[in-house]
Amino acid sequence: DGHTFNRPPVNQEMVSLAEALQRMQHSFHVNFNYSSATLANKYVSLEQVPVSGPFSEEKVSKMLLPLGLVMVKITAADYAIRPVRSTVVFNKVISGLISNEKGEPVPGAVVTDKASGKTVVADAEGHYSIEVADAESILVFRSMGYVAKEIKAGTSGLLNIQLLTNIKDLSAVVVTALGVKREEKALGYSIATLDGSKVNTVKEVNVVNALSGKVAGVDIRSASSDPGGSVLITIRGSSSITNSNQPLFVVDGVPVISANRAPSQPIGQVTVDYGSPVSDINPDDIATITVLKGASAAALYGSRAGNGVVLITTKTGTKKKKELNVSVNFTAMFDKAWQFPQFQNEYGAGDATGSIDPTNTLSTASWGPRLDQGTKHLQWNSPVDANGDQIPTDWVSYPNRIKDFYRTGQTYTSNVAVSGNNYRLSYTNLQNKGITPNTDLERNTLNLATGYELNPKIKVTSNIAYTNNHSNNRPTFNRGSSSSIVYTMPANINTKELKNYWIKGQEGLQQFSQDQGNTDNPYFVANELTNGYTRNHLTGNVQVSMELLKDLTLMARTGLDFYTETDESKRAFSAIKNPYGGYAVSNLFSSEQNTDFLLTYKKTLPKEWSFFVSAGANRMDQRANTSSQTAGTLVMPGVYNISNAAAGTIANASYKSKKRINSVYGMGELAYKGYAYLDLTARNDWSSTLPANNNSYFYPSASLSLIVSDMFNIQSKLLSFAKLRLNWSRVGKDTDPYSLYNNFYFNSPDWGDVKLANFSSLLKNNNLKPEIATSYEIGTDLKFFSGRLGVQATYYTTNSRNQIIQTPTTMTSGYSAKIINAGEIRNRGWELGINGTPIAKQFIWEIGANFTRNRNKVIKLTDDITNYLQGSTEGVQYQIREGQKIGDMYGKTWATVPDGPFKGKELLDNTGHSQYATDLIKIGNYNADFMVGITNTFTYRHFTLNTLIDWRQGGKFFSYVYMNLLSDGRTVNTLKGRDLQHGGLSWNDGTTDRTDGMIEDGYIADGNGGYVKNTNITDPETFYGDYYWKMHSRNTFSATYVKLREVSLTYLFSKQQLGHWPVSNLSLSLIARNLFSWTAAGQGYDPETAMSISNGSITPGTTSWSLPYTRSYGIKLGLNF
Amino acid sequence: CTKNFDAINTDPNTATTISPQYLLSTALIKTAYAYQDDAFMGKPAEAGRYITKVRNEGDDLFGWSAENWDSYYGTLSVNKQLYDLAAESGMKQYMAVSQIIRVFNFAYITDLYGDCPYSEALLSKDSGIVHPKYDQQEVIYTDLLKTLTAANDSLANTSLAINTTYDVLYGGNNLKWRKFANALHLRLLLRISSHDATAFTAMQTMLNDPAKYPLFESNSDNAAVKYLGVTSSDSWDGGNLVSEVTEVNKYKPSKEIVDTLLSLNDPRLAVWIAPVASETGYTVDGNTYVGVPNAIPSPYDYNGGEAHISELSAIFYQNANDLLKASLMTYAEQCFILAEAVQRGAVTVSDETAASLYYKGITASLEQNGVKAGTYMEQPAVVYKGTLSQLITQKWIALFLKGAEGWFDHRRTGYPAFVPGPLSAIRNIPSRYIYPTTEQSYNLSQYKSAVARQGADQTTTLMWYLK
Repeated sequence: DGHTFNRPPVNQEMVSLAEALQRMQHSFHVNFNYSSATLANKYVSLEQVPVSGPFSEEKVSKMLLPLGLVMVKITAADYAIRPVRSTVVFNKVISGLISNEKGEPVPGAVVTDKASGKTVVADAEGHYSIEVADAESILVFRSMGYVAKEIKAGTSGLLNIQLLTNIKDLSAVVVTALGVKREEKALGYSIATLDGSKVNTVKEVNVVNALSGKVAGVDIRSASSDPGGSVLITIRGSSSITNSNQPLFVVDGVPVISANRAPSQPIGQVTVDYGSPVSDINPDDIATITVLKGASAAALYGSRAGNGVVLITTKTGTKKKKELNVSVNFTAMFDKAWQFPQFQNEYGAGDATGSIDPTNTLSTASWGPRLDQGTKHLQWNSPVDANGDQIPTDWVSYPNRIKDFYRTGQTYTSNVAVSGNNYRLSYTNLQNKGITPNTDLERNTLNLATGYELNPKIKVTSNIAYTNNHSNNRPTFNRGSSSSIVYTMPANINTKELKNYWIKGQEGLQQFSQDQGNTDNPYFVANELTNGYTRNHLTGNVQVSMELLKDLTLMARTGLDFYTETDESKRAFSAIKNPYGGYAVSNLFSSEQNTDFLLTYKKTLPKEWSFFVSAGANRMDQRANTSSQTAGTLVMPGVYNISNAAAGTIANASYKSKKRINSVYGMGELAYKGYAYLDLTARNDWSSTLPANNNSYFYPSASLSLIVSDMFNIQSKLLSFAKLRLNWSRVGKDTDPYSLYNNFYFNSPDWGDVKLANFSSLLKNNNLKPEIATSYEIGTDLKFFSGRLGVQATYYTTNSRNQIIQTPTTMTSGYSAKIINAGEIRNRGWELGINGTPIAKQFIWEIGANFTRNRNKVIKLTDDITNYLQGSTEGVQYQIREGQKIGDMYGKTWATVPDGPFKGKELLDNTGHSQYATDLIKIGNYNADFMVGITNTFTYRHFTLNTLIDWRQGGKFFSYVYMNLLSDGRTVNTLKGRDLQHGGLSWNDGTTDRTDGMIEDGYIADGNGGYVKNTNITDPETFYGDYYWKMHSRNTFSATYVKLREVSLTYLFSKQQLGHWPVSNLSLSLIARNLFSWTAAGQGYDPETAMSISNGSITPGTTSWSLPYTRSYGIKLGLNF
Repeated sequence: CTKNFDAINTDPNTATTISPQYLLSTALIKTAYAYQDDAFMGKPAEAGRYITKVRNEGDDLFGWSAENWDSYYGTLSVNKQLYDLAAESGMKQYMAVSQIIRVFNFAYITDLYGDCPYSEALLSKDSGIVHPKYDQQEVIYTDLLKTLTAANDSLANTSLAINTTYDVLYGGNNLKWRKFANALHLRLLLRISSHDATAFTAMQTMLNDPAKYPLFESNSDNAAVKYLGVTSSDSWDGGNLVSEVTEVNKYKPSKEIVDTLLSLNDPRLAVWIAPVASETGYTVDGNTYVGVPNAIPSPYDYNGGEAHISELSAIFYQNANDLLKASLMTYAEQCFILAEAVQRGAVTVSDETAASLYYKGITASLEQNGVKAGTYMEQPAVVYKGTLSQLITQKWIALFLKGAEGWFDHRRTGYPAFVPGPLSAIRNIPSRYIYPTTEQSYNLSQYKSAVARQGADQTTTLMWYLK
């Protein structure tokens, strides 16, 4: 009703507001905070000003409100007077995400509205929401181990907060070996922890992939671009010559079955990568991943931990009663085949451009006539005339022939998790369709975590994860794979015409192919040569912890990990390698059971000393059974049952193995004043795989952690925290079962009704000793500017001795190899981690970077052997030479002029062709010189942008694909010399005049001890064959790359935006993987997946036929009920 | 702590010992199939000028790189286990056949490479020798011949029977084994005859006592293991269970063999070689059967392309066929060996002349290939002339894609006169294989002393009996 607050009304005794407040301060002993500008020209009637009785906030507020002011309580007797901002729509509910300086959510953080005292607790993902009085309300965020933070509520309704670790109170707890929780500051070795959120935003089908670029010292390489494929992980370099160098995976304290399995060639030619059982671990269920690097941190996991340990802790229920939390998320990812070799589209099929043979153009090579010139030639799909002769047809190119074959890969992941008082149940469904037609993967995971307190002193917890994996068909690799076929098709073939792959009237019997009778139709391979599998995988444990006495606790646990898998491969009739079809079925069973206990005594002594000691024991039992039946010839087409095998063709195989390791161990910590910690561990293993007199081995470790900043009481704004770590440790290693004696077995199938006995050409050894790896580590953790910048640096060296290796021996000795103890391999390296928060206001910018550099050296092999052939693929030898490095690749190179003015130039043979140098030369090492991972997170109001850059510098890869495509004229770099237009020379090959002459650059012996420049003319096919095909060194490239591996843009909806919807924490993310990739090699080959996937092994450093590199886009939706 | 460890680490998948017969079958099949692999798809077929490869023709250019010998030594390792198990239980019959298999393989290795590990070979398990020395070929041959005599004697003096099923070569026939030992003995003696003065004397001693040294008497004595054609491991190399058609199509009959058979109107031509697909449009050779010359540029384009080049006949594309056997040695070869020795006047064979033995060799080969002689042997070019060239040429034909003897005879005698092609890396047909590269990795010092003694590790270096 027309009040004007700025003018004192008449008839009433008015006082200025400032005076009124002063009166109240005096009467009630309260304190008002205001700025004089706020109170200027404001009056109240004296009646309204309370001066007696109890202080009533309500009365004062009533008095203030008409003046457009509010009163906010700060503390018990402190109030602030502020204007009401009537122009701003004020949100009563503030919600947001609380994270730490590493960008990880801080679960359970306490949020308090300073004015009202209202308090809420953030959920497990760091989400909170709180009602506040107004935008000026001050919210206080507190969490154990973090510096409390006060911030104005603001008006947007969304407030994301970053808390900094309290360096004075470094009680952050990490999970270490045997599931023991320790304060991070007490650890004398480097440990890396990743929060689950770091691996499930841009979700990978195989969670190991999600570690890429995120942890210093860890080298992750996907075997292919297929999301369900194998991933190789190496921590601090390869230490073993013969073993896989893969770390041990431990889920909730229980080791799981070997992380990787070898690819296989079930039947016929193609190689199948079934992925690794470790990929069954569902990213949505992961609370944290801890990487224990090197032997040091792993001393307590025994034998298998020599290559490091990846500890995965799964999510559990909350401790709060009567709370039910339902979280749902959905991710859709789309993979697009992206990088291809640079195929040429100018020349079609043919053996030689100048060939006189009209059927020349039916060749699979690409040296044929020029395309798109209006000419006609005989070709693969030429119709037949009345006489049965093929008719030449239009000679045109199909530049999209490769891309046309691949489809958009799709991966949909849906997760629902219900958690409440001491339980969490989660279900995940994953549906994947690969970029190769007819390939897929389906995964269902059920995860249950429960806990129960029998009484305050006895707690029981249990985790069970069940995963079912199913695929109708996995992508295939290497020779015979659809990729190898599509890549090698000449440019005049239209892939789309191959889609109907049966010959009319002979469906199920005879395929129709671009190279009839010689090469499979790629669609036939995709649809009729399938390799499916079903794996049921169960991982579970039950753990009891008891407080026996004051300071004395007992933990007992048993865990089981097992899977059964059925692989089934089908080959239709008319397959090139299985003309009468084929069928293979195999069953795998693998289990590992671990039972252990740990007794711990903890005590704080007078004079600021404290200690704990633990002692425990473990029994591990591993079992594996496999059986398979393979038939390379069927009787009835299309019937895939082993009984349909042609008589006598079934090859049977079965294998069983068992292994047991018994261990006792102890560890202790002595701490002084909370700044000096000495850790000692000791373990003794007894392994069933070693000879009775050598099967017991002991290994200790010692580590020291000094909080230097506390010791010397450094209190500087610049350096807020400094810690020094020192560590020395040893790990013993055993070997595979049955490595002691050679025995006899039968080959399968039999030779008719005759059995063929055989024995391994590997000579076993009943005098084996355990391997020993010794490592030293020194490191520091520093924090600057009150924790805004953190630096971690570690230098380590690990020597592996007495390795149990299969040293190759000359076959003339009767055996191709012999198991011996030999060798010494050293790995040395640096790991650096930096994380900082340059800006932490409304706009938050967090940056994290890690740097890894490992140097490997083969110190010694054995007295007899200075050169060990680790393996060989596509003609490249992986030799381990004394004084050199693991990962060195040796290949063929060209001969050079030995003397004279042309010394060092290429020496050709008398006819002007390349010739080999006698010795193989080192063409490179597949390991990187260093690796860098950089993450950036930008948060502004609702938006969070996350990027991960992965940079790998150095290393080499040999591309068999490059060599193959080039030697058959399939890529653009083979155009030179094809005809006059492309610089070809006119010449006569003895029968025909041609215009595709080329001269190899080099010198020829003149017969008189001198050398002359080569002038012999040859054709392009020979030229490129000589120049590239013959020489591995010319097909070897730098493996350096920089990838924008992950990008995600997340929009977090505020409570207010969601209104009265019964949902919270709704977020929507746009995600992308491999958005950008730069490779030093160019050429369309991905150095990361430069691997050869062949029967029994995945060999890094050499490419064989694989899938094109992909770029992925997707969307993620997450919410809670 | 280690209770039950023995039981846990006892391999349930294998047996600690086994009856020798199960290793006999393995050793025989490995020996025969590997030897035949080489004879059809390996270098001996190209050096013996039976085959010209028209794609991936690297081997045809004779710029041979190192050749692996693991499969031969692998077979010898199996064979040694066979011998050791038989010796443990005094099974003399298996010891003797194992010795014959041993000689066959070692002889083949030294014929391919020259000096090779012999006396210290195969002893990694027994004596821990992993760097066996290379013995001189001369020494190896002396011991091989001695071993054959002993095996023949041992089999003559034992009544112990070889398992009929597991003896996939002779079905447990001791006599046939002795014949094979003696025929092989003759092959080896002829091979060293120009460098070992006692060779022909030794041959004569054998020929003088047929009861003690029985020899092959007909094709039924041939040492050959059949193919079953059921799985890839028991099928002929050219069949679709083993090789793709594209692969076999690279193996064209050589110009030398086709032209020789054509000029002799040889009835075996049609058995072995397919007529060209098209007789019109050729460029240089208008015959119905066209072989490809050695080491020419773009051999697939020869004569106007592959439609104008002969393929091997259809049987060579089969998984199994009565005409396809993994042949170790044939009666025909024995006839030609004796014919050559008699022709030289070095030995006499009762009731036989060089001519009769020559005709017997041809007849045996024709019979083996299922063709009638007709007037073949009456042709002037076939009628026995007493020249080494004619004799070796007929032996070469008879051994078409059987073993390495075609190449070895050329090496020894210079016949038939092969002409390496324009792109050939060397002037002559190679004389030997280059040692496996693995030897330089795993047996370097022994390798070096062998090379120092024998000569550079090249294909042109002459081994002892070729010097």
